[in-house]
Amino acid sequence: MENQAYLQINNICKSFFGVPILKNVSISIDAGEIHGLLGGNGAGKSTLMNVLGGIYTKDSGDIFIDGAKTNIRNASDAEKAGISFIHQELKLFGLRSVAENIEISNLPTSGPFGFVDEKKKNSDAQKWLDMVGLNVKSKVRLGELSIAQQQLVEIAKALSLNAKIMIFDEPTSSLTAHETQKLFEIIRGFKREGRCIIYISHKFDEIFQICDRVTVLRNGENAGTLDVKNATSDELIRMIIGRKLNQYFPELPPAPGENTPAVLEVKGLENNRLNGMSFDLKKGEILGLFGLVGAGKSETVRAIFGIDKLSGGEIAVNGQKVKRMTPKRAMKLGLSFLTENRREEGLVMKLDIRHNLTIPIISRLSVPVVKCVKLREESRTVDSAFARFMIKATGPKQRVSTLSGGNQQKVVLSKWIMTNPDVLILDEPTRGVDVGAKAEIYQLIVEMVREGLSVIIISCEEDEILEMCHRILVVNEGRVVGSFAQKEATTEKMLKLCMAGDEV
Amino acid sequence: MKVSVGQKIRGFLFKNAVAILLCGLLCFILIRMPSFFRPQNLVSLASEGCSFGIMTIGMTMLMLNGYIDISMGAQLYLAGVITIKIYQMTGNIWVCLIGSMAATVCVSLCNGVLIAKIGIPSMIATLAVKNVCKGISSLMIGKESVISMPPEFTMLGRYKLWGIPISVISLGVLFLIFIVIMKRTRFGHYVYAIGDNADACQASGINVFLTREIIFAVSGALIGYAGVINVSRLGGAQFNLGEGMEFSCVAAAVVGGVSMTGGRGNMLGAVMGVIIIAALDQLLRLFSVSNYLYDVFWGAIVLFTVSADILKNYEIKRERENKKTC
Repeated sequence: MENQAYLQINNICKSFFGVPILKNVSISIDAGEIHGLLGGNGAGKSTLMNVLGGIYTKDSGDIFIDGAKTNIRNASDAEKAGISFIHQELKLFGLRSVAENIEISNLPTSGPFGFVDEKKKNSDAQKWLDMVGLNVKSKVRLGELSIAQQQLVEIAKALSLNAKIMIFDEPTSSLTAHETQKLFEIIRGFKREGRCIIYISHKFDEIFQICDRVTVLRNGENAGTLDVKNATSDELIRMIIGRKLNQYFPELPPAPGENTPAVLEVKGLENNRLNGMSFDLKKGEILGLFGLVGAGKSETVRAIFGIDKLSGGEIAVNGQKVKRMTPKRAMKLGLSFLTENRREEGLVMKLDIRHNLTIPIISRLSVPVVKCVKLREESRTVDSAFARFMIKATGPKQRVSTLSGGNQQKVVLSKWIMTNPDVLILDEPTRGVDVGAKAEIYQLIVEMVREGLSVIIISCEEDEILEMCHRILVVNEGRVVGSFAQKEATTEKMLKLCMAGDEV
Repeated sequence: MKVSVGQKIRGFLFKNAVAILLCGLLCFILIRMPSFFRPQNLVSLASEGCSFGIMTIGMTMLMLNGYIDISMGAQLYLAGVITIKIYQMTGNIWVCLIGSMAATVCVSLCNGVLIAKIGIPSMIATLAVKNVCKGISSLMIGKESVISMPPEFTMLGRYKLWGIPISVISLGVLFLIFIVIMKRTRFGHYVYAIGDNADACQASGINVFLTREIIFAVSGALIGYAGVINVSRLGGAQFNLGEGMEFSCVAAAVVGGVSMTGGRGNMLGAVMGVIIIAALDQLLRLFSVSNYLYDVFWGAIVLFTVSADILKNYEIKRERENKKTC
C-alpha cells in the first residue's frame, strides 16, 4: 500500500474500573513527521502514550506500524516495535554510569560465560552520546549530570534501541530556553532521518515552533488534527476545552498608585543562591518575577517565607521588620506561599479535599481550649470554598490524588486564600494545568486582588507574566536585573535581560 | 566556594567513619591480645563464621536490591532441624542437603512473592515469616531441645583439607563466584539497577519480578546450605538455633559499605564486613562479655554503621551540590 502512514492507531479504547478514558481514538503519523499532541489534563494523552509504550494494554483497537499490525503487551514488546518513550519524569538510574543507563536493556555480552562486555558497553554508549551531542564520558555516574544532560542520556538510550517512533512527554518542563532550542535541533535531526516523532506539550509556542501537525484530544476522543501552518492558538484552545473562550486572561484591576504603602519590603537578601535581592510589593499589586530556571526566583520567595536560610538582608512586612523568618511566623504576618510542586509540598495526596482545605485554618474551626473541630462549621466552610473556587469534584470527600492537575491546583489556591492572607505568593501557579482551569485560576487571582490582596507570581511562562502582572521584575543570578511596568514589557526585552544579566 | 579545612576533615570522617572505628578496634586487639592472630584461632574463627558468611552473600544481594530479610536466622534454624530429621530417617548427608535447601528455597520464594508481588514491605513480611519458621522448627524439634548426632554426620562441617575445614573453602569459593556474578553478568547488573530505580527497569523491559524471585531463590539456597553446615559442625541442633543471625548479616553488609536503601555497595565490601564482624564476635567471646552486654554491643554496632552510612550519603550529596554551584 502506498502513502500509508508509518504509525497508524485505529479506534483505541481503554477504560479503568469501567470509566472510559480513551474512546475510539485514531491517529495516523507519517515517517519524518513531528506530530504534536495537545489536550487538557485527563484528556487521555498519557493513557494513549502508555498504551503505545506497553505500560497499559488496550481494551480494543489496532496499532499498525509500517503497515503491519502490531501487538503491544508490555514494555519489551514496545521496544521491539521500535517505540521509545522519553518520560517527563526521567526513568534513569542515578547511581549507575551513563553507559549502563543507555545499554541496560541490551547489555552486550561476550565469552563462554556470557559476561557483560564492559569495553563494548562503554564504547557503544559513547557512540550514542556523540550522536545526541552530549559531551560527557560514558563512565561518569548519571547522578552527576544536570537534568538537561540526563534527558539527552534518555534520548541516547532511545537511539540505541533503534527507535523508529519516539514519544516526547513534555520534555522541556525542566529545561532552560537555551537547552530547549538545543533539544529542538536534535529532534529536527531525527525528523530528517525519517523517524516518527510524537511531541506532547502544554506550551503552544513549542508546538508552533517544532511540529508539522497537531492532534487535540478531549475527553478521550480525537477532537481533530490540524496542520500547524494553518492553526492558530485560539482555534487550538477552542478544540482543547470544547468551547470558545472569550477571554483567556482577565482584565487586571488598575495598578496601585505611587503612594500606596508597601505590604512587603525586601532589601539585599543574601544566601548561597541569592545575591542582593531587593524589591517591594504594594498593596493590591500583582508583581511578577521572571527569570530562567535557576535564576533565583523560587529561592527568593522560599527565603522570604523562611524555608531557606538567609545570610544577610532585611524583610519587612507592613512596615515592620522581621528578624528571623520562619514559615509559622510568615503565616501569622499574613503571608501565604503556594509552592511550585503541589504534589510534594502543596497537598497531602492521600487525604480528601475537605481535610486538605482546612489544614491551615483548623484552629479557627475548633472549639477553643479543648481543640475539637466543629464539624458543622468545617463542612460549611468547605462547601462555600467549593462554590467560590469552582473546584470540580464528586464532593469534598474525594481524595486529592484522584483530581486532575487543574483542580488540585485550585484546592491548593483556595486553601491559602481561606487563610485570609495579605500577601499571596504563587510559584508557578499554572504548571501542568490545562487551559480551561488556567483561565479560571487567573480569574480567581484577579478577584482576590480586587478585594485588596497583594500577589507575587513567579513563572517561566512569558505570557502569564506579561498579561497577569502590574509590574515585572527580571531576576538573574539571585538579584533583580530589570523592572518593567506591564505596558512596557515585551518578551524580547525580558529575555535579553535574562541572558545577559551581568552587563546591565 | 572554597572548602575549608574543617569541612574537609569532617567530610573525611563522615565518609570513613566505619573504617576508622574498625581500624581502631583491630589495633586494640593487636595490643591487648596478640594470641588472637594465631593460625589455630583464625581457623576456628573462620569455621564458626562460615554459615554466617554464606548467608551474608544472600543478604547483600537482597540489600542491593533494596530489601532486607529478617527471617534468615529462623530459616537457618528450620534448615538445621530439617537436616537432622532427614538424617535420622535416611542417614545420608547429601539427601539432607537437598531437603534442607529445598525447604529454604521455598520459604524464600514465598518471601519474594509476599514482597515483590503483593507489595508488603520486606521488613514486615520477613518478620512474619520468621515467626512462622521459628514456630515450625521448634515444633519439629519437640521436647528435647538438643539432638546429638553421630560423628559421621559432622563430616561436612568439620572435615579438613590441608588443615582448613572444607566448609571454609566452600565459603571462599562461593564468595568468588558471587563477586563475579554481581560484577560481570547481566543478572548482577540488573540487581543493581533494580535497587536504584525499579520503575526505570520496568520501563526498560527488564522482568523485575523474575529477577527479584531469582535473588530470593539464590538467597534461600545459600541459607539451606549454611544450615546443613551449621548443624554438621555443631553436631546437633538446639532450641532457637541461629537466633539473631540475620542481624549479624545486616551488620556485615552495612559495615562492608552496602547501603540500606539499595543500589550501592558490592560483594567484595561484604567479604570485608564478614571478616570484621566475625572477628569482633569472637573477640567479645574471648573477653567473656555477658550475654546481655553482648546484645547491647551488637545493637549499638548496627545503629552506628547504619547512621554512618546515611550521614555519608548526605555528605556526598552536599559535596556534589557545592561542586555544581562552583
